[in-house]
Amino acid sequence: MSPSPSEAPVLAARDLRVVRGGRSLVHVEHFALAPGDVHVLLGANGAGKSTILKALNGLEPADGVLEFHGSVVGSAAARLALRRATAAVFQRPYLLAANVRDNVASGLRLRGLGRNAARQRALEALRLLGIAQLAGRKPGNLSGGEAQRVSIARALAVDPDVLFLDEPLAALDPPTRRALIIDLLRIFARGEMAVVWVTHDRDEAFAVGDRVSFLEGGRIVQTGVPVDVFAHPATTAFAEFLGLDTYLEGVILRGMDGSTRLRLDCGMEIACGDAPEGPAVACLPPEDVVLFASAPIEHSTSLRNVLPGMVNTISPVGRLLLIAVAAERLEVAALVTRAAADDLGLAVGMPIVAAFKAAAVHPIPRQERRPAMSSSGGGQS
Amino acid sequence: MTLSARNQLTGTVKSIVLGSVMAEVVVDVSGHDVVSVITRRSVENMGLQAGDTVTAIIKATEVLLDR
Repeated sequence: MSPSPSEAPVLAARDLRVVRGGRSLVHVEHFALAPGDVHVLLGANGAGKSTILKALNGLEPADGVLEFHGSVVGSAAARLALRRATAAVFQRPYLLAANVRDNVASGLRLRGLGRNAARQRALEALRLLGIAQLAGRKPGNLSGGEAQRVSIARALAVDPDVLFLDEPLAALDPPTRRALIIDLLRIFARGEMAVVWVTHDRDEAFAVGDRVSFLEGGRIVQTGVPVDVFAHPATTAFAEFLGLDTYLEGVILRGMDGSTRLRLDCGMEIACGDAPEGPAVACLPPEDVVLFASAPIEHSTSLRNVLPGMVNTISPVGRLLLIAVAAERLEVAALVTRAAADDLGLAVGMPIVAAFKAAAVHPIPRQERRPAMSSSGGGQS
Repeated sequence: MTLSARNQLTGTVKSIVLGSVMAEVVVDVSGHDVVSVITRRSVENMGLQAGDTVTAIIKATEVLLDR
């Protein structure tokens, strides 16, 4: 799990603790942010995500070891240097009463850049976020999504080594959130900065993270590549947090007739909901999966995805049963009533056919992962 | 056909509206309309036409109640 020497972490923490009133709020045993990586800190409310973020960027006094580019961040001067070389964006944009361009230039001015140079760099950052046309506007005349783009442009303008994002999309509506995710991934794919991204949203974590760390009670309980970690949650709390969805990762292909398919890494293709061509991740809710005792006759059903397999596990979920079906190259979960399970005579090891509508698979576009990224993961940190 | 879905309503296809990718199929089940949105490809694969007898299948976990 530790990065190779050629990939020395930009930011690393060992035994980092934030203690308040004699009580330990968070304790990070080990954290390493690789260059160019988007590392997501995922967890429920109160898991300590924001406190860990502040400990990592020097805003929150902490015991233990924090290293930036291999040097220990100990003194007040070192903490200031860390803050100067990084930038943070929060759920609320916190804009000044000045116009958009001056807002974006403000971080550069604080760092000592001259007015004209700062305003020029600000304009470049606004272009990067696709909002150059807002340069002369006042914050009061911006939508929530526009204001957050300005806040992100202000952070990017200082060309940070590390960008800290604390629930940056939580206050935005779903279409605005999705558009901003696509733009941010495009910017991050250039690999010019490493990112620590705090969120409570599992889909967001799945869509943006090169690595994800799950937090419980102020501790990181698991770190790895999202598709591995999400498929093998290490704790019951994490499994419950993820819900019961099947997580899929692949590439969207579009047919001549406009229909879309998701080609999984294993080579298998499944019919899916509408999405642009390119890399994507998708969740399949288990309530949308139907089980058949035997495969329906071809073209007798509107279900486009029909996967023969066998019952792998049967787990009670409240009054329902979660049936994990191992198909040839893919495991999918189906949520069924106990009466349905009785009708089918479900038992572990028996052949079964899982089927689901194309529209049940909702793909989220994502950028191509960088080749430098480690493929290991899923282990306990 | 044995399957896990608890609700299987047999009826007659009343109308089919084809979109570019998706299609809306209305099934008359004993005087009640049941609407299904499926892919256009599925309509073509099944050779669905108005007047066909079909079974609308709905999982118990998807049925909402109102009083």
